[in-house]
Amino acid sequence: MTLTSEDSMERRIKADVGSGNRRPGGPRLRPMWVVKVGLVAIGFLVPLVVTGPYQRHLVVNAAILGIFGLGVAFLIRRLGMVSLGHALYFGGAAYAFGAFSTHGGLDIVPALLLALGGVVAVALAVGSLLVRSRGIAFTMLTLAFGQFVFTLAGLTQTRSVTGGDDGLPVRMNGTLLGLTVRDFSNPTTMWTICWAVVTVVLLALGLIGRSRFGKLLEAIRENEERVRFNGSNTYLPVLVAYVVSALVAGIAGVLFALYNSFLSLDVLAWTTSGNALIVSFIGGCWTATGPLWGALIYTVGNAMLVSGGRNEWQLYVGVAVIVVMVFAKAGVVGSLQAQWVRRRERRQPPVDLVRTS
Amino acid sequence: MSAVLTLDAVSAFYGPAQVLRDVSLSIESGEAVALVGRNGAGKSTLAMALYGIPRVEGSIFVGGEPLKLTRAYHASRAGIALCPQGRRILSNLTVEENLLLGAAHARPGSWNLRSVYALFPILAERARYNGHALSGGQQQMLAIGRALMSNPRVLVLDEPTEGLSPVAIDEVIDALASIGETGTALFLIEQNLRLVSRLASRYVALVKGEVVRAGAVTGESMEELRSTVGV
Amino acid sequence: MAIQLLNALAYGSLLLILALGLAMIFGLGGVFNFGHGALYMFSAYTAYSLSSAVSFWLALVTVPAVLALVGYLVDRGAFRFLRSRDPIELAIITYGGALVVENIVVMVWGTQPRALDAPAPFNGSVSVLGDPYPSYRLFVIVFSLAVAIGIASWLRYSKMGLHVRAASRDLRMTAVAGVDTDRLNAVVAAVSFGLAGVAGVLVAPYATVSIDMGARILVIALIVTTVGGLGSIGGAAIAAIALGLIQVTGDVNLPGWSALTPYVVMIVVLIVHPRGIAGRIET
Ligand SMILES: Nc1ncnc2c1ncn2[C@@H]1O[C@H](COP(=O)(O)OP(=O)(O)O)[C@@H](O)[C@H]1O
Ligand SMILES: [Mg+2]
Repeated sequence: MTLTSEDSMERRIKADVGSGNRRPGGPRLRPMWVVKVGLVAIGFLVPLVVTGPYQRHLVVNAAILGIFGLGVAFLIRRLGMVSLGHALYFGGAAYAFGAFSTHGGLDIVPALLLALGGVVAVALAVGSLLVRSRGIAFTMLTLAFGQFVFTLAGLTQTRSVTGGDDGLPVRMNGTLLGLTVRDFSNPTTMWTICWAVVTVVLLALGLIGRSRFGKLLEAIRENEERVRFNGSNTYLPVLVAYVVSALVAGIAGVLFALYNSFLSLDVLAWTTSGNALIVSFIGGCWTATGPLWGALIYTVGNAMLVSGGRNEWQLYVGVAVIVVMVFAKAGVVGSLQAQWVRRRERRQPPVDLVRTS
Repeated sequence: MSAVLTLDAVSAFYGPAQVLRDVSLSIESGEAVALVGRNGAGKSTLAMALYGIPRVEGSIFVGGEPLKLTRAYHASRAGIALCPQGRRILSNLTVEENLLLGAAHARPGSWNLRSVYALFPILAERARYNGHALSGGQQQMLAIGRALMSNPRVLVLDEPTEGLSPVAIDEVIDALASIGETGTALFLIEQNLRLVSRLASRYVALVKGEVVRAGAVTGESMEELRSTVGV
Repeated sequence: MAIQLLNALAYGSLLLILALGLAMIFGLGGVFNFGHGALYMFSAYTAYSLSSAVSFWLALVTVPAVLALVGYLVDRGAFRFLRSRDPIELAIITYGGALVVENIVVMVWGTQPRALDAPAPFNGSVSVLGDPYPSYRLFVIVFSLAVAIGIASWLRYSKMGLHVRAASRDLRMTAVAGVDTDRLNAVVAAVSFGLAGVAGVLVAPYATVSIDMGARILVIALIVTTVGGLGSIGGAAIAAIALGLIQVTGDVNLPGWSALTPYVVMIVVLIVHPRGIAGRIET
């Protein structure tokens, strides 16, 4: 019924997967981690299948958008909080990296670290003001903060730093793991980097979700009043979650800057935040990998539909958002998973499915 | 006499949780019936069930006609008026506007601003004040007045004396008694048995969503309720 | 100074019309309508075409009326069935709607900005304390304030206005009192869409009509709504005019930086009133 009660779906899925361990004679799901490691390994081989340079370019874009989506979806999944201002961290990190490299003359590694450090600092500052609000109020405030920075970056006074409407060509110095600018603009190399980052981010967000901290976040989402009543501070955990999600968005932003070595103000616009939200919802915010699939659908769909020279892409995205939200708000991945769970339930009666009633 | 409100095997659910189980009761016109039960027994849920707010199974009749539960306003238009628990005075409206809200779809009858002000003169004095500038007792009068504005056949009062001072309770009881004399049926949800004895002629006792006993309000029956139902 | 004040009033009164439309839907169901800016932009383009083909005045009458009808139908035909959803989900659905409307505009009019001349008899200028001032801007001020006063009076003095105010505080109690709150929602959607239409038509001869005009002003209108306090038309009016004033005088004295003022105001209000904004937004 509400954003948060979608959780029951998640719990059912989780319970089902988890119960594989306890189900007698059901070894099919036990080595889940073997499957996962296999999937990660296969991911690195994607360039073997996706051979065209343009297609590789697309999957790299999808991965970067997907990581951005993972950051935004983390807040939704764990806390039910929808941010429409994460372009602040995506674009902010990209611009910070660009400015430190181009104007500051820093090498890639310190520029990258400073940019991400800056994201954490800004997220702490902005978050400390934002995270007391909930629901739509939070969404609207994130939008206002995002637009503040977008407007700031477009001013004539900041033009010397951001390049204004002309954009900022990023001049990178030095190397990262032996790689230089030329390697970063190569989609094959970049895919390997992006996929490694995807793996690390998924792992980290998964660990956070399963940790005691993750449980606390879920408790806050379900009933903040009760958590407070039980004597736990709810401000700090929410702030930390906000910073984590901002950092993931920032990492995506730095990857974007590395890959494109050119930035335009678009990366800070609220429509960029909106895109991350769209891919999260289309793929499914309530599953670990939903935003990645959403980003792939979005990127490939965009390429297929826009290449015809027709100008209807936004129309399709708008309709897709409406259809998904109205009829399948668990998203594509979430709905498929739920379907799968239902099918298996029908085939074999559940042994210890956690029912939320 | 004819039944003005009848519940026939009514069950109510909030999500998957069943709050009421096969509740049947009937109120004759002009009668005052009390619904008693502990906190959480499902009394307020029963009041809300008249408006279809929880999911309802079973049927409800108002004046012999089946009551539609698809939309909340059907009950009001059929002749039910509710003073909800906690009064729910609208704090952004004046006293008079709160009363006028009650007349959103008034049935024909003798209750209007003038007659409500005559019953509660203090409301006339405070007509232009904000609803929440009133004391608890005055707010309860306002809630009753608001309900009367629709000229109901049956007035449902969900714990109308909760949190009021003894003096205010007496005023509310007197007002309810005089409303009862005009022929409006009263359905009084109460935990305070002393008030039940002063107003109601019959009672229905609810435990965990089920009717456990019902009968005439007498000294003995109230004593018995106190020990068995524990109100 | 008088000129600046008038410019502030003209900009502020347009903002006010937009913010009122946003606040009405928000006040009733807690849904932030991301499509509001797109409707505004759509109306501006329609006004551009209608003015060129027939007459601006026809546009000023028909566009808001048609939009109001659309708002009524969208609410009755779609949003009615989604009322139990989380307001954020509904907001995201309206975001999808905004994308659709924007794309329709692009398909019909292309991406080129358009400019429209002020309609007669307001195509000249009048003298304000000795300086010439475009008379159309004066018309914008008078007309939008008249619309705002009309809406305020409707809310204050009509029976339905009373129900709208009640429902924005306690929807369930209002329904229990016998009000058909679904119909009320549809009427409010109609009024809100109609207001977006009024603002869009009014702005067409006043500023350049472009695809991104809706998305840009939406956030400012949102800030007006929030800072002014939802449901409080007086508050929204003061906030809109004040923001207009700060921005217009800032444009002259602090070129560039003044574009930040709405956000700074919002952030300051947030710091002073951390619960305040959230609290008001939720009601
Ligand atoms: N809106 C609701 N959603 C879910 N459960 C509810 C809701 N309202 C009441 N309940 C539950 O229904 C039961 C009866 O509540 P209520 O009718 O308010 O009791 P009473 O008025 O007799 O004190 C309680 O267990 C309560 O927790
Ligand atoms: Mg109760």
